[in-house]
Amino acid sequence: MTAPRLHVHKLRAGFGGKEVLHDLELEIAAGTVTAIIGPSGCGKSTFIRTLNRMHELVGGAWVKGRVLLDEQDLYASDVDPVLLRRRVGMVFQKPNPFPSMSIRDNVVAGLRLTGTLSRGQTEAIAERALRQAALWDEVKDRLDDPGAALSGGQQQRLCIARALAVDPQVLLMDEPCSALDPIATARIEDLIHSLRGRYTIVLVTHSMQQAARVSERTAFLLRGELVEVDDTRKIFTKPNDRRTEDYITGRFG
Amino acid sequence: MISAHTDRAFEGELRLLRERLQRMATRADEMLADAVRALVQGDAELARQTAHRDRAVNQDEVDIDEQCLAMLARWQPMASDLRLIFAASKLASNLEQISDLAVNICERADELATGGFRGPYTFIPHMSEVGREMLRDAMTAFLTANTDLAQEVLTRDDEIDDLHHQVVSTQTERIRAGDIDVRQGIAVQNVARFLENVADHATAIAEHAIFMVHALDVRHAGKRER
Repeated sequence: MTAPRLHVHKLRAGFGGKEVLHDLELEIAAGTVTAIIGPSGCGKSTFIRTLNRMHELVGGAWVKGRVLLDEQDLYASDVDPVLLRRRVGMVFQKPNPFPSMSIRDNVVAGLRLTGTLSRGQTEAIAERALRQAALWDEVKDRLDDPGAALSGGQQQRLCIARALAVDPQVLLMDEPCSALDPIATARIEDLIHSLRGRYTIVLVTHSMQQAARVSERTAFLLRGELVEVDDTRKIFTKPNDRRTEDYITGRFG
Repeated sequence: MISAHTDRAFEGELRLLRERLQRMATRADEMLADAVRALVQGDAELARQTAHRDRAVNQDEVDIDEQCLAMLARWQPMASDLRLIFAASKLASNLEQISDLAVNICERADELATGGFRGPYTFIPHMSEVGREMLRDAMTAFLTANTDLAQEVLTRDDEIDDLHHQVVSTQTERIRAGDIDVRQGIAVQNVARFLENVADHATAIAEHAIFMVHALDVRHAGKRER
């Protein structure tokens, strides 16, 4: 059997004296889409931030246990967090393009931080990432316009293009559609379908329907505990755990 | 035990759906009772009146399907709620077909009464009682999520099959002996077949109850695996 792309083992994390995640065990296969669901405050965002070491950027934050990316411990002393975040990209709830930077420069911003590129290389990478993010046709004639000139949905795809430009293995998405209208949401979901296979995607979402539509596996977190992880189809038709059933059917007090 | 939904409007819709199913089942059950009564008593007028009540059951089916569709679109339910609504729509179709079978019995009752046939209708009233009891138990099983009761309904299917065979052989014997007219004998046998079909629908409703509770599709499992 192939080793999972991500292997979370006995993961605990928190802030100061407060433990937010308790002994999480999770394996995520390469090229799959995994949805993380759970009520507000259950630790979903903290969890995905432990997968690219963004959690530790907050003062007082701590992590114990192991997160393996292709069997390499992300928290080993020789791992450079900045380089790690190229392998494990992230897209946030609110689109956050650099507002005054051009569309093209937004896409290649991550690359510029870690190396020098010729103009030709920059152009090629920007086009590839924008095509992958299904934004190329809409922006190809105005690559020098500021990123902030795009609509909310386009800005979010621009952020996805920026994450893809550095050719990551894993893409973390923290409620990427929560600020978008249904059409923009459908575009992002369509994009997730097209990125499946090439990238391993971990998606935090509050929308049960979105989790059901785009993911193959779904994990339910409750008060920092991983209650259940299973095939998405099973979770949304017949979950094993009563707490999962209560949550997804809206019976949670 | 099914706990209440956080969204009270959705909970209200679920309650309305269950009430509609119960009302529809009661209508179909009463139609069956009156159809068999019209048959046994040779009451052609009661048979015709009962057959007309089919329209209300048809309307129930349309209303329930419309409500199920609206609930799927508005709430996009999950897990047991999704299974309940999916099964409710199928259940309404079973009830509508039961009322169609009651209409078929009414037509035979009218034909036999008008032709002066007065029975005897050996086993038919008993078949009707067993079939209606299966229907009522299957509905209770569905509406109260009681899978033990649903399993009991499944086991009673054999009883109805046996009664059906007994009606067929009894009527065949009477035709052969020249006690009754061939067409009349066949009409009585048809009634037994209709009642057997009623029990099949009751069995299907019990299977919907098991699916709704356990997400287990037992429709084609065969008697042993159920």
